[in-house]
Amino acid sequence: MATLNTTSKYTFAQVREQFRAAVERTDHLLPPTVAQAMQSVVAALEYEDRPLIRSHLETAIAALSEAVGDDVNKQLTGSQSVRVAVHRLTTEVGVRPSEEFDQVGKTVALAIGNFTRILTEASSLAVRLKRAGADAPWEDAVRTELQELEALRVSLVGGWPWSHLPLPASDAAMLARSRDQATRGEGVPLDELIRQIESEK
Amino acid sequence: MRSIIVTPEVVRALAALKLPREVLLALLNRLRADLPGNEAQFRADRDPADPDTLFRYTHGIEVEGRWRLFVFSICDSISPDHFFVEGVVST
Repeated sequence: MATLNTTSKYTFAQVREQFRAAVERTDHLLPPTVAQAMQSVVAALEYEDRPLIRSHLETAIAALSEAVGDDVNKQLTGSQSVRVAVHRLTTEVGVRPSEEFDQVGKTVALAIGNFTRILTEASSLAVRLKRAGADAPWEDAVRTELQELEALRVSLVGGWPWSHLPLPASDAAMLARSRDQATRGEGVPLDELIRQIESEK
Repeated sequence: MRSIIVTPEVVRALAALKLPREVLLALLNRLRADLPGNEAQFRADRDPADPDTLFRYTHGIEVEGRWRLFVFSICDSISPDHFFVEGVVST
């Protein structure tokens, strides 16, 4: 529950003016529901009606929580979409070490970093909202998504096959045996090998 | 267009990697799709093990949550009509 500090060194009038100024500065930045609730708090301050002030503050915090929740859900959707796209790229398409794919790796790393930063802020905001008595029903989803992003960062971005990394050396013994086989014309056409594997259960 | 032949040695080596079936298929399908039509590009990357006869085809793919890089050594000197896949190593 939101509380009013009645032992503040500020007078009621000073608090009211500071609050009004803050609302005027931020009014155009806030979602309409939050702005409306904040204006109601200012009106209640005019009457110095503590229960009414408390009630409007709670409404404002709830409106803020809801508005933040909408934004957080958009960020969660965006982050999940990036993870799905990266998974498709890495499992279905794959990459060939090159400057082109280095750029892809940098873009993926940047997107993961941005979503991690935004969702970390959302996680901190959830703590503050709950401390103020509001709900933050998206908190668990944010925590889970942050774990997913970290796992992706470590496993794929951390191990990205950058073009400057050395390639594993060829197996000389394997090459020698293969060369003998190839010289004798032994081998299976790639199409046929793929068909064989596809037909295996 | 040259056809791509995989030696028995490489078939055995691929099996020994024990890759998930879908990963192995993705890898081989990518090789099949990439090489024809882009031969000059890939043949320019000669394999240091035998640059006179081998070039490398490199592909990275996610295997159970982490990158693995596969390097195929492909011979382009035995036959003008074939590429022989003679080696494969991976990270």
